[in-house]
Amino acid sequence: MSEATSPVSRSGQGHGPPSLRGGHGGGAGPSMLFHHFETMVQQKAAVELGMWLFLAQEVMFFGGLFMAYVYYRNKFHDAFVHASKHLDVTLGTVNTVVLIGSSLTMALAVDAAQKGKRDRTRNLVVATMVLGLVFMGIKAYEYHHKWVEGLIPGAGFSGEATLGHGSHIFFILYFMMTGLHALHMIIGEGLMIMLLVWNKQGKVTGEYPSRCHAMGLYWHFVDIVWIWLFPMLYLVSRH
Amino acid sequence: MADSDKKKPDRKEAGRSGDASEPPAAQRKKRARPIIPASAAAEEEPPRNIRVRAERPPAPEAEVPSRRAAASVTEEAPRRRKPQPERSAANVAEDVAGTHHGPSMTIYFGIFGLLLVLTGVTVAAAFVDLGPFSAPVAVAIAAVKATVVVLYFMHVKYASRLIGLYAASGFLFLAILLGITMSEVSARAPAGPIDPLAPAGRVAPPPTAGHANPPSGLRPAPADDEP
Amino acid sequence: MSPVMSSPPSAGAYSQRGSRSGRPVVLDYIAASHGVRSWLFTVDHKRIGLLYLMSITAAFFLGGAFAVAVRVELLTPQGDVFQSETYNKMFTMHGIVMLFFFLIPSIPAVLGNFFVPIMVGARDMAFPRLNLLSWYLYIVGASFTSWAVIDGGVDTGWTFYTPYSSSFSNSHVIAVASGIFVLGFSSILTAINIIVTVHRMRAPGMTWLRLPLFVWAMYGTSIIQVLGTPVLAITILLLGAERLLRVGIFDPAIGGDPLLFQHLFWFYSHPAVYIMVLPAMGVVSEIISTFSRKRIFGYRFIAGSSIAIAVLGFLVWGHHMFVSGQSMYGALVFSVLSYLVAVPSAVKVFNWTMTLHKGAICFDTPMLYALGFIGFFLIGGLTGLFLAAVGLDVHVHDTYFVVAHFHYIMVGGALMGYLGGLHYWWPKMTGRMYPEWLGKFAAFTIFVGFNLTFFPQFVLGYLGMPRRYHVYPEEFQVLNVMSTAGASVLGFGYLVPMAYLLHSLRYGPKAEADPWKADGLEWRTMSPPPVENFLEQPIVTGGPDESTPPASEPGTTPQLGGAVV
Repeated sequence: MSEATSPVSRSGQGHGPPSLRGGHGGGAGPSMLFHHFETMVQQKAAVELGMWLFLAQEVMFFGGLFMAYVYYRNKFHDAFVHASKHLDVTLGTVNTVVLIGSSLTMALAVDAAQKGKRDRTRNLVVATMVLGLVFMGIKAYEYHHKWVEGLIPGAGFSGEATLGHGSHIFFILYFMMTGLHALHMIIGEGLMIMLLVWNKQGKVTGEYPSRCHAMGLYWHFVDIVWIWLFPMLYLVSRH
Repeated sequence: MADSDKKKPDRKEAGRSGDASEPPAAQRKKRARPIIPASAAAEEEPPRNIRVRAERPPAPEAEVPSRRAAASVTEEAPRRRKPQPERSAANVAEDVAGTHHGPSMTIYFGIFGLLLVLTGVTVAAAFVDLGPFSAPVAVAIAAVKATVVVLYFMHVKYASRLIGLYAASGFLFLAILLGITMSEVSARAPAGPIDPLAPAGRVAPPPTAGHANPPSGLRPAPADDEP
Repeated sequence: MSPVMSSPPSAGAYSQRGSRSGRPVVLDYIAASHGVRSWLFTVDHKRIGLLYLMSITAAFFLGGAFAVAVRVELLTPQGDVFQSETYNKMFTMHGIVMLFFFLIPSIPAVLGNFFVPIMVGARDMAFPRLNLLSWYLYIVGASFTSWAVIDGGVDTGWTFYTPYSSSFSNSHVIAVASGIFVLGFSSILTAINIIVTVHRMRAPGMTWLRLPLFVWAMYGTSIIQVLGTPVLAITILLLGAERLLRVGIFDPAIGGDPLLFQHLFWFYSHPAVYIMVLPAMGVVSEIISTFSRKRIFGYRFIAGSSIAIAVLGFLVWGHHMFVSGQSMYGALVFSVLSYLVAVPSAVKVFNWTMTLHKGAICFDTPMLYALGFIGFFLIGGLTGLFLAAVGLDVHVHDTYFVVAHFHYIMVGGALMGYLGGLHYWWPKMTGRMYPEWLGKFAAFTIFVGFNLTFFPQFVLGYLGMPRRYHVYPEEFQVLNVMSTAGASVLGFGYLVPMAYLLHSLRYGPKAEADPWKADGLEWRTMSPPPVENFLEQPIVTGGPDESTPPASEPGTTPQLGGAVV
């Protein structure tokens, strides 16, 4: 049964005469229309809505951490101010710029895919991946720095005395939020590798650019999460 | 955080010109799988007509059932209609039309520039003593940035209202979580058994219903921003 | 299963447009392919629905076994069967298995999965492979939990309240919590699938106001699942971080705040109640209309109230926290908001009652379950109003009054709806009829057993018997014995359908396409349906709310409304 969703093969009993259902008209490459959709329009619309629902779910997933952040920032305000000063604003700003840049390249990649430019799509996706790796490299350096400073909660955390009561929660949230964000980026990099493979097979830029579009939505969501994390974590009352 | 209620006026135009930019191959593909033999001849119509032909269920994607839709639905005489080569495609055609259609290059790079500028502004603002306004300013800038990304990079400005609704839904429900919880927290007794809270005894205003601005939850903090 | 011929059992009931010549034999979805692989790798939403059916039935009887243990222990005032710790594990595992592994996936993943695509006239769910993935996630989550059960179980109560769960409990909190974490994503995937299917896969003419009320209910449920479940997931992640790393997030002794846990937990877990009961309401709306032989009364109000319940359900979570130390202001706001949920619920009950009014009521098995649902939901809902009042809640908080209340909603409501739906759609799902007299007998047994089990618990709770204790004062014994006796009847009542439904798979008479003379697209295809649900493209020209002329052939019960194909 698993082949029933594969784009080309069809199960025997569908609507209408098989001769007409099987015919896919002209056009290069294999048809990307799945068996249970009537038209490509419908399929694209379903994929787009599905991705947005997934992102709505993601907003609530990160939202629980945002809730915890707001709750504890209210409760341990001074500790949050002091702890935030131990994050490197310069690196955070550079990372913000890098990630916004990767968002731009991803948006341009989607645009290229929709216009059917296969090579341009490939180049832009690769650029996005490189920028994502730069981001994660900088992030790893920052994590290492926290380790050296002894600011990892649960592993010889030294901040409770110097930064005030509740600062450990700031760093728990820092690591959970940025860690979850980085995990999403790693997944995104993996998905982009798949996207490159599909692109090579011509399955991205043809009649069905929705995979690239969905990938773009995902990557922009990752960007948006960082847009919020940056001021929340790095910029708490810097003056 | 992003909310997408400003885009509505543009939707119709975007939808109308939506299919124009599609590659011709895709246009042909769209019609490639008729399911009713009788209409096989009508296969090569340009997709633009999908919408025109779909006089029947008017805007079934309207998120809330409206009386208008119901009225026109009940009055239709389906037997008179030609058998449709599409199934629910017509239901979604209007919705999708916009998605092939993104902003121009100028807009992409303009948005990128705007995001960079706003990043600079928010960093600069953090180093200035804004008193109780520092957190709201940071939240406002982040909200603008996120909204711009959602509208332009994620094409919500060019997509249907349904997509806009679901794009906003996550942020809306997060606002409910933050708003109600923080208003409860801010009303706790000053020397409560569990939480001796800083804003002593101050009763926060109840969460305003339908206030779709998630950052409101962040605001209790800056009241005592001053060291 | 033997193949079913294409020619439908009743030509009138199965009036597909167009000719079917040239395709003499059409296999149904069960007969279309054979072998274990064809089931484990299926992407057919109907087969996935049946996979879910088997899985959650196993979970149901596992959870039931724990309930038996609890009721046996409570037979006497002394703790004579289990140690206190064991008893804690028994009621905890009962709650976790029943809620997360049975009730939440029950109607959405079985009946919703099976019937939403058919009811909107689609060939499959929008994302069939995600659908299969969701079942595998369910199995992974269930494996974690099963391992924990075998290896000693968990004793925190199904709510995992911190700091007990994070700092003190010595049981398998992490394993079970991981299971629920994974399970949450299974639930989210099913919900995304249903929402997209309803939006994007509707047949021509299937407008929003022609959607069956079951689909409306499933749509509302799915919204809750998509927007609520991730919060539970992140809460579990935070709980796991505190427990594994010993860092203070929720434990006040090491710098956390347990109230945050309760806020996050109930933000999901209160709406989760509506994940359980909303689909049952959808099922009941279908059954009431069919077996009253009437158009549903107030279609738009029932549809709208489903969405209203879904949204309002997100505003009331704090009524679980009245005695937790939240602010009095918060308690009052949550109390008032909780009363609001009663409005759409009452709208539904009113409309069902009005549908019954002057209807030609047939007391078939599904109808018995639906009528039972209305009564139980009424009692459960009204006692819910008691509990929404802060003053009374402080009095009966954590007593058997609460236990009785939510069992009336979840067992009397959600489970009765599920069983009603299962009987109603069993002929369509399997192509076989179950024995009607046994069905009625079981429904009646369950009704009696349920009331005998849980009504005494209202009294017990009001008299002050706290929940979660296995030793209680002598004077409560009579009521507890009544409750245990009722539970025995109830347990027997659940075994009967299990037996005759399984029996009917092989020996039951073949079902017609439309055995109940009902409306709706699912009855316009053969029983069981073909792989892609319909042989021809259905075109919908009417809905439950539209008085189309009787579509049935002369001599049968006149049909009012309903999708005419």
